[in-house]
Amino acid sequence: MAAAVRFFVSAENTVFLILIKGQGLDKDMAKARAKSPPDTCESEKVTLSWLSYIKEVVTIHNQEGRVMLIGTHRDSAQDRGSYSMDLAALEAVYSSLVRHESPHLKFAPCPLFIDTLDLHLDQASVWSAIEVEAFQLLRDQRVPKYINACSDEMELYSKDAAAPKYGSRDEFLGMHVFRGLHKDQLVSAYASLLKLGYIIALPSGDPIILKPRWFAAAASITLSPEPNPETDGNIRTVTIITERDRPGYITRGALCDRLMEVKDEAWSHLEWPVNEDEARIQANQLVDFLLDIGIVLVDPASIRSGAAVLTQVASGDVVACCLCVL
Amino acid sequence: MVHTEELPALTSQLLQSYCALRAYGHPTPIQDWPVNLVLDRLYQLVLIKCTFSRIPDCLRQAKQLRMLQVQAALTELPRWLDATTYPHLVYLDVSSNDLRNLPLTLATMPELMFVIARENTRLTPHLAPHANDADPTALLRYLKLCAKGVMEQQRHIRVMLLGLPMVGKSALLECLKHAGSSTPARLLHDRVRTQCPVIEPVEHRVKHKQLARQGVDTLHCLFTDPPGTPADDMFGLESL
Repeated sequence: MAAAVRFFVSAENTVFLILIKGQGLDKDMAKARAKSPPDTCESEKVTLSWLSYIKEVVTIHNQEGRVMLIGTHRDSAQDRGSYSMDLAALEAVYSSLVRHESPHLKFAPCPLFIDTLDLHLDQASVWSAIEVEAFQLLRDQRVPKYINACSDEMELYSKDAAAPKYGSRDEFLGMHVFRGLHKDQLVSAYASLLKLGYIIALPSGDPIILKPRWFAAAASITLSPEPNPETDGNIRTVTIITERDRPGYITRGALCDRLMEVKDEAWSHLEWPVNEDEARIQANQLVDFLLDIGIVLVDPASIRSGAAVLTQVASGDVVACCLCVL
Repeated sequence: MVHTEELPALTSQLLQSYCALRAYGHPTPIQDWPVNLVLDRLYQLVLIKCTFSRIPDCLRQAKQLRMLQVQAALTELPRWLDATTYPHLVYLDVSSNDLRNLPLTLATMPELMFVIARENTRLTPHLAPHANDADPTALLRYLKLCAKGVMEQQRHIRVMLLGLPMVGKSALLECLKHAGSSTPARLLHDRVRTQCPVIEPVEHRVKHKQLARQGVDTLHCLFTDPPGTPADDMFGLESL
């Protein structure tokens, strides 16, 4: 699992939608059961793995989450005549999940089998199910009006391309949305925005990230040695090619340069400024953030030898890169 | 100090003579507590390591109470915990419970000076920092601020999409963003695989009657749509 996803999965008032491909589920399950010894199919395994992770996270953070299981490709199942059998299989997967319900994690009353592109019935049924779960999550949650207002404001803020992506806590609390609030109210607003995921405070605490979408994108970039078709598996995200002679090693300056080069449309959330100096400041800050959450690590052995080495952790793999001390 | 199991055995006469009662340990069920528990001289009541989830109604009679400490499995404080029931209450300690909220009636209790609610890990985020503040007056001060202002229903949630790559997560998010009767029946979705997590707020007009009655006419959902996680990466996770 991408480190970035691990980082973002913890949150207050969260509805988790676990999606599996519904079409063909019955066949996949039957095939897995027919093995010796009998096995579970990939969708079942993935669902249980996610549930395990979610359960752990919400329990550790004393949060409450709601889980919905959604089977997709209903239209294909109908076309191929496997709808009723796939629905039954989906219900069987759901039944096995519900056994893991806990005080921290509750399940929607039933799974949904949908066509994700259907803008009428299926869209309405998913929204309706989310509303039911939201009702349970939000029950008795009365908050001061300014708490909702601050969250609304941060929603707008996230869409403003010109707004800073990060800032100090003081700068943040100096924003106009907080004007007139008592210092105790500021503390509450800050805590709520953090818990609801509108801002991110990394372990170092300052500066704070005001655009989680920007940070999520940046944290998903992986460092990689030169591509090797024989050994590379499925390269899933934008990769930054590190030094050819020392695979996985890269100077901080080069890392910043390469981050700044990521400009294709799928990564538009990075919103690099046109001004190169400004972009470099942001890239440097980004490297610091990545260090802060352990996506990029400094190798202590290299610090001793005078050349700090960064290692990047992504999807469980450790790739080393080098930070030259200037 | 008495064990809570011993409470039913105490005579009313004896209880009436108590000014301070410290009960400790696993309680008998609330319904077994003496109905006519006479506590009207009680100044201090401490119930520690109990397992009940609501404060027993019989404690309403302790009108002279100055200090109340309950450490149990409380999920909410009773509506009657107010200035009428406890006009002289100075110190309320409900630490180490399972509270989600605190009533604003606490802010109107004339003699109350301290509300302690540490280690209630489910407290709503706006209360939590004050409940965990080292200053014992911080929480009550904040509750008074809340009482002076306008309270409303929380209407923000997070929605996280999880699953294998190409299962339809981004298509579903795109679909959920389309609203209105003028939209076509089917979404034209031609996006390639999601490469990095998309975090996007989506507003949704609520149709759920109870949710609307609760005061949520528009639900604000902060969607997180991460790239699909291949099965190979998932199976390293601890299984249930």
